[in-house]
Amino acid sequence: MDVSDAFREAAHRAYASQSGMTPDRADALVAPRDMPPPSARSPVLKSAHDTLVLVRELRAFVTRHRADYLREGKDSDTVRDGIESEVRLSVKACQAHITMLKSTVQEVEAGKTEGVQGVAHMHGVVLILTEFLQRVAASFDQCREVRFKKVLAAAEHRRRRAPPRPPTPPRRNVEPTPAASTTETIGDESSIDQQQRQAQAQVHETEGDALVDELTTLVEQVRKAEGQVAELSALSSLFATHVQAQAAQIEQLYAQAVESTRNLESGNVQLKKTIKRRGEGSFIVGIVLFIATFSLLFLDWLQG
Amino acid sequence: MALQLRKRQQDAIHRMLNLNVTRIVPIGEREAEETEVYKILVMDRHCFDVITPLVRVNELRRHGVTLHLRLDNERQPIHDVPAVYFVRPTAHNVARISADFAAGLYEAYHLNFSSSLPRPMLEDLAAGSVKANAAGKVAKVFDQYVDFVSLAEDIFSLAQKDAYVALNDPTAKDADVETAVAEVVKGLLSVCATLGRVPIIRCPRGGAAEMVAQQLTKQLRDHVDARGSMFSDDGYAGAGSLSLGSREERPILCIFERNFDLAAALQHAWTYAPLVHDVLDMRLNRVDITQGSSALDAAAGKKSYDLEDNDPFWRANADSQFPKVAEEVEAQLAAYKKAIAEVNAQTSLGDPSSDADMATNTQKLVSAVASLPELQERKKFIDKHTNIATALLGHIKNRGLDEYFALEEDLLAGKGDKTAVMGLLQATGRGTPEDKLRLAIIYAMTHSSGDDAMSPADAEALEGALRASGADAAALGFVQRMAKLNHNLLDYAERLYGQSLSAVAKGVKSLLASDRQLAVARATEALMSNEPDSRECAEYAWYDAKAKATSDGNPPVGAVGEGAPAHDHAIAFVMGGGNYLEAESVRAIAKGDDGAGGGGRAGDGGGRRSVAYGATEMLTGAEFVAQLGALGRKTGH
Repeated sequence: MDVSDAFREAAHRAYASQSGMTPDRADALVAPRDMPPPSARSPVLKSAHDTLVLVRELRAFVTRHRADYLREGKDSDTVRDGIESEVRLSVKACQAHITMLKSTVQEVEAGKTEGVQGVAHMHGVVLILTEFLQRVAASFDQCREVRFKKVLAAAEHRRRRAPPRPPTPPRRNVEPTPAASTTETIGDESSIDQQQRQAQAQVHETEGDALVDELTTLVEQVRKAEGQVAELSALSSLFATHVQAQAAQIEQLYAQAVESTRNLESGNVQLKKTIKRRGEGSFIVGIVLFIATFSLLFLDWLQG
Repeated sequence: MALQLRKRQQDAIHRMLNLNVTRIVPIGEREAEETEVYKILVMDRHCFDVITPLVRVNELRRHGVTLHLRLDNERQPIHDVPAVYFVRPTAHNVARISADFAAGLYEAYHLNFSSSLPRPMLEDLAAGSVKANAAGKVAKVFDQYVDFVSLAEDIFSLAQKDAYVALNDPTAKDADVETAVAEVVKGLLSVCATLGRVPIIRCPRGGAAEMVAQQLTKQLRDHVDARGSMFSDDGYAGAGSLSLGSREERPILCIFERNFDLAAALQHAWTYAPLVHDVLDMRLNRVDITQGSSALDAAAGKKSYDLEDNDPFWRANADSQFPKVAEEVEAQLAAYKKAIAEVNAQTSLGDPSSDADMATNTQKLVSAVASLPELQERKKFIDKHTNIATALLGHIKNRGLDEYFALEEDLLAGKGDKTAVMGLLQATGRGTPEDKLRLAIIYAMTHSSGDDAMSPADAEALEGALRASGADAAALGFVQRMAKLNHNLLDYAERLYGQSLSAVAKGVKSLLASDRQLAVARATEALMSNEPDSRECAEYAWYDAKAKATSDGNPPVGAVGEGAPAHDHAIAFVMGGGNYLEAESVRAIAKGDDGAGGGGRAGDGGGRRSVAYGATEMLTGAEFVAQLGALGRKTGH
């Protein structure tokens, strides 16, 4: 339940009771002050805002093109490659922004204008952005996984179809010879025809060989494509681990900053204790010296 | 429509973390203008407990919270960031916030109080802000009405320590009792406000429960009459009318006192969730286990585990008996090992020269990599529950908890064996002093009247055995005294147990503990079913904030008795402390598990019913015994 109005009325009454206060001035003082937008308030927030805008765009891009990416079609591969390269570039740009933001934060930290908690807050901002980028990259990786599965399945099908083809050219070679043997029975003046038929058979053979070569080259290409796919998957996982490593680093920094706020308090307590002890120590030393002096005087008096 | 108490509280907290804007825009969506993305969260200890089960610390970052700080700790100024405060409305907190204003710590303040801020404190807050010239920096002040802790989907607690002592102390001043009652009312108002529904309140007559019911009804009535209240979405059907439609949607709130069933709070449990809570001291769904027996590696081996609704094993097995849980863990472990072996077999590379093999290998690799994260999650859960079960087993063996459980079940079912009880009480090395005290109190309660009554010699022997084992017999003294004063109290409890005896054949030793429905669950079920011949419906008071103002607590015509409709949703609330054993028994009502009681009407409500369980705090047996002991010492035992 919103009780802001009741609060403002009470504050207004408290102001009104002060001397020299007009109702208008009281109104102005009680009204909520609008803060300027975050990016105008500090360099860290501005840099963070720019990064956030970029990551939001990347996310919108991924959602928009998810359907295109997963669709099957004739030139879907080129489309997919295009999308992937764009995403890769965007992620690199976002990461560069985040590194810039981190360096800005470190500058502010070195400048010692902010306290320990303020620094922890800024590291928190960086961590939030990195986690957001990680989530977007992970969602895109899921699309990629689906694609790889399809590509592998297609390669599997192609492999299954490829071996049956090479046996067919020999079959075609077998065919002309029965035709050749039937033509032999027709007549002797068809020796020229025989030669022609033999030449045809040769042509067929060469055709068959050419087909075999073509198919073997296809097989090579498929194998190369597979290798590339494996490379791509390795790269993308490297990618993800990089982003993750960055997030881990930032999380560490953040945790350190939060730790240091706690250490600050315990450090204060320890300092107070040390000061007290030192005071006590010097007090005891003073007493000891005092007693020693008096004992010396007493001994001297005893002797003399 | 189930009572989604926890989800609604979560939504309220999310709204608050997003600065109470009318529409929450997630961090990823584009907006026309730039809004505040990052904020600081400042909480006091109580509100930290409220938030912890709902939003984990790393989830806070998803809402843009960069840092969370305690109100009472030393804080430094942080520039350029709004601060969200979430605190209880106490004078101390208001003073601290005024000090923050004076120190100029943050640029903007969004103040959220966990329940309603009284007028004088609001004035103090305003005065403090005016003195520091910071009234303009206060962007919003909200009363969130979330002053309770949602432990699970259907279990909540008000986190009010020592409520039982405050409510039952004979030496307490009236003002103290009234304060305790007011606290309970505040907590229950928060629950109703979060649900957005005005419940019908049923409670036993005469006693703290009726006081709570009357005050709560009055406050609810004030809120309902006020325009634009939080209850406006309840289909307000006009002043004074109780049309059937609106009543069907309205839940009933059954308020019980702890004295209604003391045994349930003292009993040793044998099912998983109550065991973990009682033996391993679960707090806010977190369990700390110290591995290793020596003190040296105790610090190194301390691990904490979260037990929440997102853990599938916990959800499935929280109500199972302990031996079955151990079996389940083993079964899951075996299934996991098989899955891992499969993955390994797939990924072991065959002959790389053959094309077909390479393709299939790559495919297998891809599927293996895809299934790895899921397997990792499963392994984490299995590890967690294995460790918890091992720790439980260690405690059970050391303390002989199975013997205690068996004896207590026998006592409560009416088959007490005095020699066995005395034997266990006098045995050294079986159970902590608190365990013995609990057994002794249950024995004393079940043998306090009738033909089984304990003779003074028996009572002496009992106390002697307790003192010998180092237990504090003050608690026992208090219970016995209470039994003599309120004879009806324990009679009532005995009558209920008598009912269960008629349903279960005598002489049959029930091996399963869950056959016996606890008193609170039985009463709630009877109230929900609204049967004409059930004792509860006739004897319990009826308070309805939406009806015309009445103070006698009698139900209107047609609400109970012949032809009255059953209630599908109920909240069972125990003043003075509850535990997971009772919660489990109450939860069984919703599942349609009739047990020994129930009637014809219970059958048709099976799937639609939902029951929530709440208490002023969730107590382990040892803690409750300590409170009884404190009361005993106050009354001079």
